[in-house]
Amino acid sequence: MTDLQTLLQEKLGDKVQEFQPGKDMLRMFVERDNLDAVMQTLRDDPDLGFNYLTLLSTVDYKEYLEVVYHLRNMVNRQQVCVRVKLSPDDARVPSVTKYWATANWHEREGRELMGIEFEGHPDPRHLLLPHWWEGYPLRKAYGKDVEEWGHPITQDVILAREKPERPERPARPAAKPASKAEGGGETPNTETKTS
Amino acid sequence: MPTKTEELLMNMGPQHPSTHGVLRVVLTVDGEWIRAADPDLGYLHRSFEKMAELRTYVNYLPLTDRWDYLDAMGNNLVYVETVEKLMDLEVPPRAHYIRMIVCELNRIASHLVFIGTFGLDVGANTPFMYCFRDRERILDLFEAICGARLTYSFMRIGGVACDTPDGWLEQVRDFCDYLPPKLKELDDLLTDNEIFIVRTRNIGVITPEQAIRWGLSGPMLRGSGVRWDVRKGYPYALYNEVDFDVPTGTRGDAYDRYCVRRREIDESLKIIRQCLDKIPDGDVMAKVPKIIRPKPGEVYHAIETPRGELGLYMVSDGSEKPYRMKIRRPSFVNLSIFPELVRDWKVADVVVILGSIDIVMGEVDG
Repeated sequence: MTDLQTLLQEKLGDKVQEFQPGKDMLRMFVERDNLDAVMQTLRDDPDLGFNYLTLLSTVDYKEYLEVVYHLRNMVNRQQVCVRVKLSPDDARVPSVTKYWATANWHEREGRELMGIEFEGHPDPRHLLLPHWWEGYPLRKAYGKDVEEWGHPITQDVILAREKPERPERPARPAAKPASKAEGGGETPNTETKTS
Repeated sequence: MPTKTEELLMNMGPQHPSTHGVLRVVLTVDGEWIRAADPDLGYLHRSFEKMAELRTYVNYLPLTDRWDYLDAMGNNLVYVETVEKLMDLEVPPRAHYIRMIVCELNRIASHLVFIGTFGLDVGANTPFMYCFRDRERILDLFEAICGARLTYSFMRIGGVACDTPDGWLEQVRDFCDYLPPKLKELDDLLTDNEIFIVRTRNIGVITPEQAIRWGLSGPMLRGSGVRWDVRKGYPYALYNEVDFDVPTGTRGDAYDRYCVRRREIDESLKIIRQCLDKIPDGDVMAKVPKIIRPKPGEVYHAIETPRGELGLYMVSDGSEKPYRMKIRRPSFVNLSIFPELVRDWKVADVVVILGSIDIVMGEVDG
């Protein structure tokens, strides 16, 4: 039992399902329902202080999906890995964008490529794939289920169908009116002139 | 006649001389002021992560060159080091030193491209030519050692592909002596140029807390004053045996990020000179089995590339193909702060801020 493991056990108690020592860092398995509380503690507790989300990845283990968070404390260089198991029929997990802003794009990518719903995400549009893409490319079953997605659906396939069912492009979030004027030099302009 | 002002949706890219690749940004402008920016990625998405699941560990190596094509040695390095970590493989010291020399040479080449193209973005056309002339010397060195100028596939799991040719190390030393006067030329042209400073000072300021919250790395993070470098934080190869500084900025603006990269070239030259002095004789390749089959498990390994922290999360199921490989792409993460940075600045500043992030679209889209 490393010091980090004892500390985490003290702070998180029974919210953690299991600890697993790894080659590079300690791994924790957390249930989806406890994830929000665990993430908040990991970031805000002064003894833990994991203020940097290095990577948010999604893995398809066929019977279940997994979301893997690699966290880092920039001050004492500690790293920890949090893993959440999800069933493929109920693949949703709370978004951690409110704790680490960097999770925004990682979760958008995870959603479109693996099909995991990040609840509470401020902007869940497609990031890399076109907005009309069907299917989840990074799943192991992608491309094998001939009826559904026998081949990557391209735009001409969709247009060639009898009733082209192109989903409507989701609206972009509205431009925020508030501005930030950090740093001197040229002052940014925030007034919108109306006649 | 009544006049009115309304916000305009302006499209920038995907073909654009200043977006550094195929990046499309949809800007909402109010006259010359930006109200919102929405990057549209994916024009260079080549499904590297999916392809990793279909190729053996050895077969996949040439694809790593294509992630961040300006730092192919770094991509090779993170890939082979991750597999070596999974297999608990020891690499001979000569291979480590050769890896360090080529990675630092690649860092210099990449930063020269940055300086040249950043100057071009701001309107300075001459430094671009000088930077590329100096970068040609590095590409000649790479061609001598592995046969390629951009996509090297030089590293192997367990070492490097081949030993240095006769006289190559002396040529590297000559290059280290050739470069400093050229860098002085560049400083006179660009770094100390009043117009350049006015264009980049206090533009796109990132506070240290903002940088950590947005997961930035590399010169983006160091420009804001956070002294974090993976080579010092989690040393890999033999970086703990060489002595170098980590340049940081103070204000977190575009000029500081430029200066961090410019000073990193000096530090890289320092590292290369030390490696040339310390490199031992010996093998360049460890004894590896014919078919690479790491034991089941997973590992995260990261290195410091010119763009930031390039990490690889690799899951192995015991077969000869990776089960899952997730690439932590520094350009992807660094670009995510872009919509925040350009809000309420002018259109001309968009180009400066985007240039100061130093993205490579091959890495952003993955």
